[in-house]
Amino acid sequence: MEEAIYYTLQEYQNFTKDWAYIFMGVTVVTMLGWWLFLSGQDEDEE
Amino acid sequence: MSNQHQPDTGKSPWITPFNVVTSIIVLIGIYLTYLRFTGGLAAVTNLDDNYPWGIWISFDLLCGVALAAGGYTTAAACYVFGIKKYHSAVRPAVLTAFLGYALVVFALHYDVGQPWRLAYPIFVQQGTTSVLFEVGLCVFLYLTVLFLEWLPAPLEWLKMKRLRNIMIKLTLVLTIFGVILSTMHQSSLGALYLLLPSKMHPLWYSTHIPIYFFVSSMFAGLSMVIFESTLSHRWLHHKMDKAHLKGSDHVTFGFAKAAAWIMAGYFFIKLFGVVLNDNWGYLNTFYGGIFMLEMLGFVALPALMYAHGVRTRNTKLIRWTAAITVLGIVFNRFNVSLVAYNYHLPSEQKYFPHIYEIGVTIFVVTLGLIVFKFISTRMPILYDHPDYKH
Repeated sequence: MEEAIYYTLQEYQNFTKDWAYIFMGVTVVTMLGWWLFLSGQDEDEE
Repeated sequence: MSNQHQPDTGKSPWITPFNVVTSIIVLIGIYLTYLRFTGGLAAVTNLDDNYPWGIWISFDLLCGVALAAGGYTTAAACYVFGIKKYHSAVRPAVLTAFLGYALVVFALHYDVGQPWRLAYPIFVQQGTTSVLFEVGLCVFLYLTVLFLEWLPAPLEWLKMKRLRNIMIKLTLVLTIFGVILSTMHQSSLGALYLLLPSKMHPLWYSTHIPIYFFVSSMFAGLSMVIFESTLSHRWLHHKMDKAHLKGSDHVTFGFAKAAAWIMAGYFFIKLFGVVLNDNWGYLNTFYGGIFMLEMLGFVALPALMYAHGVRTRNTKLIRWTAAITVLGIVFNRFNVSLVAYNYHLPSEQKYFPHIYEIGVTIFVVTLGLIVFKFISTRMPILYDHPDYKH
């Protein structure tokens, strides 16, 4: 991966925070799916 | 094999493989202790100005504390969240935590020296601006809380009914203290490494490192309870009563599910560390390989294995996964405190533990095993005392 060059702190923050927000969305959806996957067999037992 | 515990009659043979091996290790350990306290750190360690902390801190302290987290997680699940089906796991978990913390303090003597000054940071000269002070204070307070939480077992053994009943009434408040102190203490161990932005590899250094330490301690503790229960089932099966054996599956599946959930969260918050610090470029390096091994091999993979084990009700898989997770926590704490630390130094200046340092660590772990075996074969740890059955 080619190292990115940031000329200002603003550019750096924009880049990293943009990715952070995208990952937050991915995390929320994945964690919901993960919980459903983990609990998938619970009802069958009851 | 009977499902009822067999009380210790005191007539067990003295010459057993366990006793022989542990006796040899203890004798070597006593000799190494003599060398350490007469010859100083240089006589038994490879520590130097670049590495003032070695495996005694990495393993005995950082791993010991993380793996003792089963005490607060199990007690909180049972008494704070009211999940009573985990009750049978509380006493073994509290005993493991108590011994874990006691051995942390014991092992710290080898690093610090001058045991008679152990109480100085608390009672004589408090360094209130230091994170180490918080660590010391939390260890001191939490060890006391764990001792009090563990106390009903020896009191039942000694038939001190009144005092035992008073201690039982304090269970909830002690559990709450324990959770608060653990939260502070687990995270402050991570906070120690906030001091080292220039010495630690960027993949492990983060301003969120206290959170990483705390969150990872939760699944470390849960996994350690499953792991310890596996060993107890193997070696101390005859000491368990029906309630304990029956509750064992609830604990295994419940804790595996909780650990899988927390590990997924941990995986993502570690990923946020990479994202927010723009560390993508480091992933394609040697240290990146170690980081990926830690995150994929010892976090993501065990989380998937736990989930699969819970869904298919596979106890064996979960028990193996617990062992891998415990190993993963050891790997992580070593990575933070030794591998990522001073990563810029040339390899000839890097630290590798002296054989005597490893010997002292094995000695400390062996002491823990001996005391655990002594207590759990005599006191009501793996069974309910007949006088106090519900």
